[in-house]
Amino acid sequence: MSTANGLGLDRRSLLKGLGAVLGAQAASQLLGGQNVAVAMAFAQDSAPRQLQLLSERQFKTLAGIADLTIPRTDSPGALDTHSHWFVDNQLKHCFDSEEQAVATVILNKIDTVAQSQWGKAFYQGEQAGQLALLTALEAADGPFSQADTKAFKMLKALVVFGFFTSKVGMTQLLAYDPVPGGFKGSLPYASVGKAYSGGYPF
Amino acid sequence: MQETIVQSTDDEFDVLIVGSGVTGGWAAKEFCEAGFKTLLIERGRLVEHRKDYPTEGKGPWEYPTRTVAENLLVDQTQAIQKQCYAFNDTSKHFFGNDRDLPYSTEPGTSFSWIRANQLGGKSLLWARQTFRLSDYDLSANAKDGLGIDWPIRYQDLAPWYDYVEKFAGISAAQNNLPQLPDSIAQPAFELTKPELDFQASLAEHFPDKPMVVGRCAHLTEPSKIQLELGRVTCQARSECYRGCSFGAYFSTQSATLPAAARTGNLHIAPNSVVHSLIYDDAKQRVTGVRVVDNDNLSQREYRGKIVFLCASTLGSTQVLLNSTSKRFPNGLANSSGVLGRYLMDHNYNAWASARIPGYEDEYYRGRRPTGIYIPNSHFEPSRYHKAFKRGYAIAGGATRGSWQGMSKQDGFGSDFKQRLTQAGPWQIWMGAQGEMLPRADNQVSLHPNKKDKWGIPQLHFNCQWSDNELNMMQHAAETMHKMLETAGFESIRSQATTAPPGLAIHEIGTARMGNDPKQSVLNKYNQAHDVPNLFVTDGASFCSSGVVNPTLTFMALTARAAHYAIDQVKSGRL
Repeated sequence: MSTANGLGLDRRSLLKGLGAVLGAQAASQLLGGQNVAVAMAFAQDSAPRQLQLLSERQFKTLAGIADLTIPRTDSPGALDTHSHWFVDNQLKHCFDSEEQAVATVILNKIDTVAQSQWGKAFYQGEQAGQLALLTALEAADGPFSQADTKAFKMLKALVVFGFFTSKVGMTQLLAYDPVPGGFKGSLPYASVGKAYSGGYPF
Repeated sequence: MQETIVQSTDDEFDVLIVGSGVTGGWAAKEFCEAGFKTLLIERGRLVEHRKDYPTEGKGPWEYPTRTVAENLLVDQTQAIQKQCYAFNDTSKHFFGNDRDLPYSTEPGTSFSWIRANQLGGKSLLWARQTFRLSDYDLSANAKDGLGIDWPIRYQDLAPWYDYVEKFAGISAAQNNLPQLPDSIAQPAFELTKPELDFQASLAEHFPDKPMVVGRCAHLTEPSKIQLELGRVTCQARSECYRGCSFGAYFSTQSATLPAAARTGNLHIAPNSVVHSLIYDDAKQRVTGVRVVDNDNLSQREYRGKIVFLCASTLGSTQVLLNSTSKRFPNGLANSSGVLGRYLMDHNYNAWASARIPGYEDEYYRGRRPTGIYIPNSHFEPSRYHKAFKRGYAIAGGATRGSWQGMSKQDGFGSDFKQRLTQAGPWQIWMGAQGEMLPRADNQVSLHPNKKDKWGIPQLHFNCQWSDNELNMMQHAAETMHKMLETAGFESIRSQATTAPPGLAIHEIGTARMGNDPKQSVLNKYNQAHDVPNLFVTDGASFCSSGVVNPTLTFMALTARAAHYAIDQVKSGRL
């Protein structure tokens, strides 16, 4: 029974063995130990910084939503990771025209309600007012319908998606484990302390 | 690489192998190791292990769309392919281009044909779950009369399962179940705590539905032969569909190709779309293949003493149907008239899910390449349900939720952000894998006038579920619901759906084996009844679908047929 590089060996030994197979550089890229994220020299988040679908005004509304949803705390937030840029790009390239319309219509409605309640644009409002407005939207209260809530949740989920698939989201906010080294069926949650970045493809 | 790349040649090869996926790779390995001068003919491009896995190791943030494939691209070129669970921006280059691969379907029917036309074929994209057929499966047709009898039994296949498992590397537990023969295996993947407790609940309340850990073609304790080929232990990355530089899962690239190449006998003809086989009426043998160049559409021929068709179930049948001659006006080796008929897939049209309360302190590490598996409990006629014949297996798994499932929850700000960084509740998902009966009406034929860009007549599909399959899925959904309920799980959902065949990507049949040449295309060694130097060893040869994932059986049938052919040649009979 050969266990020459079964799970019994530590990562360094595996790296050494694999180096002979793959070449040292490729092996260190695949199995870079503790600093695997750094060793793999990942590029930074790639998303264009030019509006693809939304108008300037809609984009400012979206940015306000993103900031309220995932603010900067002791860690970066949605705006730091350009998640609002991601949402605009994603809507353009991965959604059909009906879905795009759902997104722009709800952004416009949020702005219209803000205008009628405060006499100014959503993005110009105070954060407390913005939060109250979006909370009413999630509850389908006041001027907002169930359909509005559903449309908003689609946008909100996209903000979340953009944030948690950003490099910061995946490698800092979540437990990033690109090369787990095998599967272990049970370990204490506290030993990880947060969710993994996820399964395939994230 | 030590193989020789071939384009035009006048050489006569000892064997021509059409297709380089799981079965083509196995045939190449066996013939090369036996000293045969072998030509492996692949319609697509070369894909070199490691070098041509361009998306491996990339983080989602390196993709502007975070690995979601773009609308425009998908709508124009891969609208069919994108239906495959493995399709996204990181794997799309291993899937076919629908524009180049047209086919038609009978009005009122639908079939999703997933294509992977490159060196390695679908061995780069398969889901790698590996189970043996049992004697119950191989005798089912004989016992209940639905379909012709398989010409082989478990004892014929068992040594070849042993043989391919030792080389491929299968992770599995020893379960000693009559309907699911054990494999020669490396250590099984672990179950999670909730899965272990669910296993105990099933053992108590559903004694005929024991749960085992899934078996898969991943290395957990590589053997000497695997290490020599540069294959190492599975790292549980779940990047399999991008190609694996660890060689941790079985693919042509990781396993059979390097084994074949190191003999010095392997020749590969890439970008060679096989149009048809050349049949010599006088010799009553195939003498070669006609090829259209994938890129420039020029034509060429390759000559060989034996032909192994390993072009995928429907690819092989399409080649045979398009190989006409005076003796075989309706397709080569088709004196029976059954070529193209008895198309089957597996039926995945039932699922159930639930939330598992508790286990908040439990977690796991890694992304396991298999799950839980509940073998077919209706594996012989006395165990059939009154509403349907044959049965189904269940596959699934339990994991903790993540931000992906919580992204539409109410809330804003730091609390919301913090909540989404934590693992969510445990959840379980299960899906049925049902048997499809072999029926003559489920058929592929050549379209009378539509051709593809290589001038090859398109396939026309007429394939549908019958009431048997629909009733089975209703029962499967109800059964899974009960299992989850009995285990004390919450928020249980279950559903039987009616998605058309194709998407299990287990297409089988259409050139079936059999003892009677009037009712079958191939004999018990996957050799054409009508043409002794022609073999078809992929899924086209199946007489029934069984319920287990078919790829391990493809491997065993191919290795067995290759050794039969080698013995016949060596003894001067072929």
